[in-house]
Amino acid sequence: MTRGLAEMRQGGPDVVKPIVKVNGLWLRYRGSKQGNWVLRSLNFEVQERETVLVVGASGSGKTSLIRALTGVAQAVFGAEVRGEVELCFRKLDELSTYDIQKCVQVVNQDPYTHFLEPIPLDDMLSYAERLYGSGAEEAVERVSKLLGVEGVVSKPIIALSGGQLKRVAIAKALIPNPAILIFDEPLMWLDDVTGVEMFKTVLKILNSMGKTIIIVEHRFLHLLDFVDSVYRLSQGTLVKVSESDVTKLRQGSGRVAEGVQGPNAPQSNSHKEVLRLDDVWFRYEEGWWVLRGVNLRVHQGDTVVIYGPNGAGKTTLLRILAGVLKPTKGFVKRFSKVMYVPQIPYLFLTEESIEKEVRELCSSRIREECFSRGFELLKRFGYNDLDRLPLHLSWGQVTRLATLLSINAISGAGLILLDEPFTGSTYLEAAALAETLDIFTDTAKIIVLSSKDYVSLFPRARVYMLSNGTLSPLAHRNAIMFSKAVYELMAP
Amino acid sequence: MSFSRNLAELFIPLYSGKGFSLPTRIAMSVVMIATPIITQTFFRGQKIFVTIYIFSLALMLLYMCCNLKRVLRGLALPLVFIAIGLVVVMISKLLGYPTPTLRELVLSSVNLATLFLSISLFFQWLSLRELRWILTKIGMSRLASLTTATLAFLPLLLNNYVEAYIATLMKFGKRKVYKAVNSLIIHTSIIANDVAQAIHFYGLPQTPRVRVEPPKPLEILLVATTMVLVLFLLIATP
Repeated sequence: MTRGLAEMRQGGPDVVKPIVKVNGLWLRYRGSKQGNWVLRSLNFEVQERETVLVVGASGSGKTSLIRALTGVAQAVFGAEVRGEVELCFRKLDELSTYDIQKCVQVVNQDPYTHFLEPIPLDDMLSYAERLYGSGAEEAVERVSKLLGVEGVVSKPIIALSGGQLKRVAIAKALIPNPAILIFDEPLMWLDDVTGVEMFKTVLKILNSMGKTIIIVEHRFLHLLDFVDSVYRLSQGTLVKVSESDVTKLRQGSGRVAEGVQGPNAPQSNSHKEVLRLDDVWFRYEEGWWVLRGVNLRVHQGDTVVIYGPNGAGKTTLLRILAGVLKPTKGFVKRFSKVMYVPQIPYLFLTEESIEKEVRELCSSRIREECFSRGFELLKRFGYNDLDRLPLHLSWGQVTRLATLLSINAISGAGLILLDEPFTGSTYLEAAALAETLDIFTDTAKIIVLSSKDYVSLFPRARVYMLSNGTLSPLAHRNAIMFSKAVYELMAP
Repeated sequence: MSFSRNLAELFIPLYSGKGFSLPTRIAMSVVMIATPIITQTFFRGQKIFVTIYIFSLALMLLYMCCNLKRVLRGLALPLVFIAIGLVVVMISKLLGYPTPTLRELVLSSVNLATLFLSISLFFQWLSLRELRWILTKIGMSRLASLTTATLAFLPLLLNNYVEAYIATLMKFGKRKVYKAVNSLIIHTSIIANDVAQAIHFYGLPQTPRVRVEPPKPLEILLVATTMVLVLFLLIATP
C-alpha cells in the first residue's frame, strides 16, 4: 500500500482528490459491428497518489481504456467515445496536447515504440528541448539518474535488452514530470530476476515521488503488495474487486520453492528422435559466445521447457533449432517438420482472416480432419468470428491463436517451437493453453519462457535453464505460484 | 536475409560525434560523392589515378571512423550489379555488338563502388541529429522528421523481418516464404499505430541543437589537399 493513502483519504492537511474521473464512458472502434462497444458505461475514480491495478482477460478492452483516458482513442484510432473523462481536475476535451503530456504519460507494452530516434539519449533530448529549451540536458540527466539508466541511454535502441529499454521508456515518460503514469503490461517479456524486481523498484521510486499510477497487467500477483485497489474489466465494464477478494488473492498466492522435473523425467514412450543438438556453440560475428556446448535430444511427444533471463540467448537458440542460424561449432539435426511461433505473434500470421489461416495451414495435411479440429479448438478459446482480421485481436489473443494454429497444423509427429507463448494471457488463459498443448501427445514441444511462474503448467516437461550460454537442468523453481481456485474469483 | 540487413545497416547514422568537426565531415563527404559522379559524367570514368585515389581514401576513412568490415559486406549489392554488367557485356561481345574495353569496364565498376562507399561514409559519419539539422537548414524540415522516424524503426523492422521469415519458412516451406511480407505488413501497421501514439504524446522530433565547432587547421588542410589533389589528377593525369 502506498504511504498513508488511507489516512489521507480520511481528511486532514493532505487531503487527496480524484485526479482521474470517468463517467459513463463508452468506446467502440470504426467499422465495428452495431452495438459492439468495447467499453460500456464505465465509471470509476482514481485518487491522487493512488496506485491502481486493472486486470481482465485478453481482449477485454484494457488497452482501449488507456486510449480513451488519454484521448488517443479519438485522435489516433478515430474511435467513437462517449461519456466524460476528467484528468488532473479538468475535462479531457479542454486539455491541450501539452496539458495532457504534463498530466499523464503512458508506458506501452512494447517499449521500442516510445522512441522516434535510434539513440534514446538523442530522443529524450529532443523531447526535453521542446519542454525545457536550454534546460533539456539537465532534465534528461535528472530522470536518467533517477531510473539508473545513465549508462545505457547513449547506446542504440537495438542494442538494449527489453528490460533496459522499458526502464529508459519510463525515464522518458518522467521528463515532463507528469502527475499520472499509466503502465500497459509493464512485466511483458521481463524476466523474474532483473525485470520484475526492476519494476518493483521503479514503483517504489514513483510512489515516493507522489505519482498516481495505473497498471494494467496479467502477471499481477507480483504487484499485489504495491497497489491500493484492484479493478476487473469484464465485458466492457469495470468492477472494483472487494478488499476481501484481494486479501484472498494475496493469501492464495505465494512464493514457492519446489523441485521441478529434471532431464530424466518420464517422457513419451517414443524413441523416435525429432531433434538433436550436439555440442552447439554460437556467436555473432566476433562477439562473445551466446551458446557454449549445448546438447539436447528431443523425442516425439516430448515437452521441453527452457527458462532463462532476458538476454540469455533463448531466441538465438530457437533460431538455431529452426535452422535459420547455423551454429559456429557443433551440429543440429532435425528429423521432422518444425513450426516456429515468434515472440511477436503477429509475425506468424500471413492471411487476412482467421479462417484462411486454418485453411492455408491445413492445405497439405488430411484437410477435413485438420479443418474441423482447428475450428473446434479455436471455438473453445473464444475465436467465434473467424472472418476477423487477426490485426484486430489483442496481443494475448494473437499469441494463443498462433500457438493453436501451429499445434493443429503439426498434429502428429513434428516439433513446435514456442517463444513466450503466455505473453498477454491471464493465468487462467495460460493454464488452458498449456492443457491444450498437452492433448497433442505425439507432437514435441520446446517452450521458451522468461518467467518461472508458468513452469508448473507443464508437470511432465523436462525443464532447463539457459544461462551464460549453457543449458542445465533447472532443479528448483522459485516463483510466484497461484491457486486456481482463488484466481477464479477474478475470472471474466 | 543477412545480405539485406547488412546493406540497410550501412545507412543508419550512428556516429558518436568524436573525431572530425561537422563542416569537415560534410565537406569531405561532398567531395567524395561528387568525384566519382564527375569522373563518370565528364570523363566516362576513364581517370585511373583519381579513381584509385578516391577509392583508397574512402576505404581508409571508413576504416578510421566506422566498421570497415560491415561496409565491405554491404558492398555485395554493387558487386552484384557489376557482375550483371559484366555478363551483359560478355553476351553483347559474343553477339557482335560494340562493347566497352576491359579498362573502361573495370574503372567504371570501381567508380560505382566508390560512390556507394562514399554515400555510406556520409551516413555513417553523421549522427542522426546532425543529419536532421542539416536537412532542416536546407529547408527540408519535414523530410528531416520523417527520415528520423524511419531510420529509428529500421533496425526494429529488420529484426521483425528475420522473425517473420523464420516463422513463414517453417509454416509453408520455401515455396511460400514470400508470405512473410503479409506478416510484416500486419505488424508494421501495428507499429504505425504505436508510433502515431508516440507522436501524439511526445510530438515529432524537433530541430535539434547541434553544436557546430569550427574545423581545426589540420582538418582545413586535409579538405584543401583532397580537393586540390582531385582537381590535379582530373586535369593533369590520364
